[in-house]
Amino acid sequence: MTPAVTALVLAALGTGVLAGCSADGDPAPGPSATPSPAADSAVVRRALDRERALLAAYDPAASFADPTLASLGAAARAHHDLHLAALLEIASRLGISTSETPSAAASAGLPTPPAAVDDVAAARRILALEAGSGEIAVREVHASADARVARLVAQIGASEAQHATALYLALREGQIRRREAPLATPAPAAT
Amino acid sequence: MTLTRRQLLALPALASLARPAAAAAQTATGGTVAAQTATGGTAALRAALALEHEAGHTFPELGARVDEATKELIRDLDADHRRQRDRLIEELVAAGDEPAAALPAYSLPLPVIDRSSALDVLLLLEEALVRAYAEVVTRADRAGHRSLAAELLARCATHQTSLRFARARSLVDATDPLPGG
Repeated sequence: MTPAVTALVLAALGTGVLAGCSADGDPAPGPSATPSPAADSAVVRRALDRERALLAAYDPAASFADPTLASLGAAARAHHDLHLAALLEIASRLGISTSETPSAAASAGLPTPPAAVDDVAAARRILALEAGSGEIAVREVHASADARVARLVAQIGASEAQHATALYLALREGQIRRREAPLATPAPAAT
Repeated sequence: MTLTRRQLLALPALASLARPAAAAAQTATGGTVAAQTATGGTAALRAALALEHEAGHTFPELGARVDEATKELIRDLDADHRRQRDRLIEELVAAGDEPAAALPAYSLPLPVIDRSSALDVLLLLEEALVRAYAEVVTRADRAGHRSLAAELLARCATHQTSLRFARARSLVDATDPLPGG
């Protein structure tokens, strides 16, 4: 896969990993031109919301029938657990409140792709979420004043861009196949 | 792919990251450019540029030694690195710096005997770039430099995933929890 192709495919999916961040385009404008400690708090809280939303999206991963998707999902989920732990640690050091708001997922700013009806659709849905989250994280670095926050958020964004790329490659190469949710086991025939 | 520090430092340009920031940026003739006055952020940006110069040499060289399908991937990544190099140069010039030129030649950090070893070398280079951009994010004293580095860090991280997949035809271990360590 090439970065250019990735951008095109993801754009077609209604999102765009690193959209606004193309190597030959202008960087997307950050939310703040003058980063401040308060801005860092907001950056960390939004990153926490995104990680919680992504972890929620991976909840059904345990039931994926496709082994490639199940494997990618398990690895990505472990990464998101680590992202969440790292964000909580840095928030604790900086004295940032980390309580989860009821609307955390909604406020994370992630795209809302259609519900998945099979494994391919599920993979495309998660790809869109990962790409959207990665894109936002990269853009959020601009608003950060604290170098540790900036680095962590940038690394999280890069990891999510990798997840989106891996899902794209798996779909393109046919490594994730269209399989509907298994039917309930039929009752044994009466004798 | 997890590299040891020794392997990473085997990359000629990356070795500059291990030296003090003031000495990190070298010209093609081995001299330093305004190194005494360079800030940490500018020095880190120069180190990333040195690696992009190395990529500009290494990707085409190895692209000539692989099969057609791999050649196409390498060609695309090479084009991406050239754009990244140009953007770094623009940033440095805009900051009043004098960007270093590429060295006349670069030695490969590993012997290349086949497609697999060619991809190993490119993965080493991408790993070094990911670390270099993470360093720019940390040390940048301009928000613009930090944003650019975050963007290029993500791009190089996706290059890693593509190259790992091309090498192993597997997506196991194709992603990292925190690229750049």
